[in-house]
Amino acid sequence: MIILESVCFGYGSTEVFSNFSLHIREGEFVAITGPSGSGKTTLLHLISGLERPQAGRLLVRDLDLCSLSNAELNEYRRTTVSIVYQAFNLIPYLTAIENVTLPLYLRGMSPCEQRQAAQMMLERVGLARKQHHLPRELSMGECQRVAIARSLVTRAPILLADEPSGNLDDENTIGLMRLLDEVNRGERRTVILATHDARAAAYAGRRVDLGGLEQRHLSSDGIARYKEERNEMV
Amino acid sequence: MRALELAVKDTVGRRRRFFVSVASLAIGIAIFMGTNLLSEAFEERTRDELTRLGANIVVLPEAVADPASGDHLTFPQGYTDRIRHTPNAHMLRAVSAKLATSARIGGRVVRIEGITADEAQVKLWWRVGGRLASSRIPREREIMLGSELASLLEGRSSVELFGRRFEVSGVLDPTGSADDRKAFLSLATLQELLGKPGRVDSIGISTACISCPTMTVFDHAREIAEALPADVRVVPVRQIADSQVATLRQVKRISGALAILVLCFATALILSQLYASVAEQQREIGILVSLGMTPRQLWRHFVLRGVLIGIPGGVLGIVGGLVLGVALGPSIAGFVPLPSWYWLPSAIAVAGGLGAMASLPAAARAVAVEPGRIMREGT
Repeated sequence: MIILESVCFGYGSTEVFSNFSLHIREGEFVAITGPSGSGKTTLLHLISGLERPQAGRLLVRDLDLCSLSNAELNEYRRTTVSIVYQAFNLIPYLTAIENVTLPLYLRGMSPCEQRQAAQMMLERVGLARKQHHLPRELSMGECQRVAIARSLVTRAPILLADEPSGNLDDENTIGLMRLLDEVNRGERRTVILATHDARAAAYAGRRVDLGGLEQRHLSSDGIARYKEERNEMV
Repeated sequence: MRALELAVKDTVGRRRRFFVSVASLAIGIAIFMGTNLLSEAFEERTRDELTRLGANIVVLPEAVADPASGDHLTFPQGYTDRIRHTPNAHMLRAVSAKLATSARIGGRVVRIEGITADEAQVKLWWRVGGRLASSRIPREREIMLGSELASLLEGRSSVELFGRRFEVSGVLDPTGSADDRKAFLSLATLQELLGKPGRVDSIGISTACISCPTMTVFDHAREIAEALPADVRVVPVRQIADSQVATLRQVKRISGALAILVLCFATALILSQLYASVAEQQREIGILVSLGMTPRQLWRHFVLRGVLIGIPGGVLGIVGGLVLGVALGPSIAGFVPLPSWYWLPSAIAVAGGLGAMASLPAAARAVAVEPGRIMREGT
């Protein structure tokens, strides 16, 4: 269970969340939607422990992230969550399989076990034959599949995906969303997908719209901006 | 994936920065090593030249003259054996016993010295013309003249001394010292002429090493004094010794300061390279931290990177230093200086350590990176 209660967060003078609350159940597939700058990425960063709320409570699987020490937060990041980014964030000097083994190395797994697990995961995403390619030798879709393999290989119970289809064509987007769906249904992992792609969001069991006033308290500037964007869309 | 493998890929993966870092360190180490080699060689040459200045320790009778008779005081020649059996005698280059007197030759009062073959070892600059060219020491019935004295005697082939005729079998090349006005006999001959068999009035000692850290001239003098009876005093020729020691210390100080300066420069170069790489790699550091890399793992990663730059930099630097030594050695020191091979592994270890040390500020900077901000900015 992921619980955000009255969470406040901002960057300098820019307020992103003010008294924001959200509950996500174990094994849920939730799509976080909203316009650019609405806080989708920030929400994922809060849940992943990369940022800490400035006020309020954030509980993930009974762990209060606000009260964890840096070391505990590190451990949490290693064992509980994994993230997939729009920009893939692969390490450029590592091959596909090395990128996938990276989180396993950080967990202290033996090189042999790392390799076995990474090979299996690359097979699963259909990249077994390109395991020794560097990211620059792969297509965008392939890079995203490597990133997905890297996030799945740790078997972390929570998978966060930040605009994972942003750089992909339709075919690759469908393949990616099917994979996330499979991870959610088949492995009962919680998937939280931040996207502004309606087709991608449709795969989720629940949609949380950060533009919606019922989910988020926006600053007056934010409301105005949101209304503007909404009108433009209409 | 292992820590080392990740560090190797990260380091070597950035070829340009890796080569610049390795080259910077290699240049630094090469200059450090070259400077050291050349300064050691220069020091060796200086030491060698200084030791050629002659005796730097003299053994003299306790009193200069017998107050009762006014006679010249002597002591047993056997003291040379005692000196040769002191604990650090192997560090003495020559021990030369002498007996001196004055006598008239050709109407002039001349200083006569009785010497042994060891005197030629003390005065390495002696060049002798005539029959004594190779031995440089007169035998019985032979006399060797200083250059000035020889010209005063207008090339005489023999001279009379103490009622005995001696053949002039050698003439010293000009030395610019008092030796130019002296005459030299074999020690045994002079002892016999003066009726002082087995007696000498001074022993000149030349040490092999002027300012060896373990044994200075003053240490030698102290040791020899302890081995000899109280009727003699052992005098380090303080002026010479002092200036020799001071010269060598100066050489060491200058070359040491230069070497440290270069070493600091090399460390600063590698440090700046690694430090700058953190700014370039913020995103990768953010990725690693978001994947769960702990600060400890991050420290280790950067230290390993430093070592990986340090070791090849050290090896190349040593090679460069040798080349520098070979290229400049002959003109500076007069020979090609070579390092003692046993310290090469230590030099490489030091280079690795230097790389590790230089990586610490970069590691501290990397640990301070806020992954949330970095990942947000890159999204």
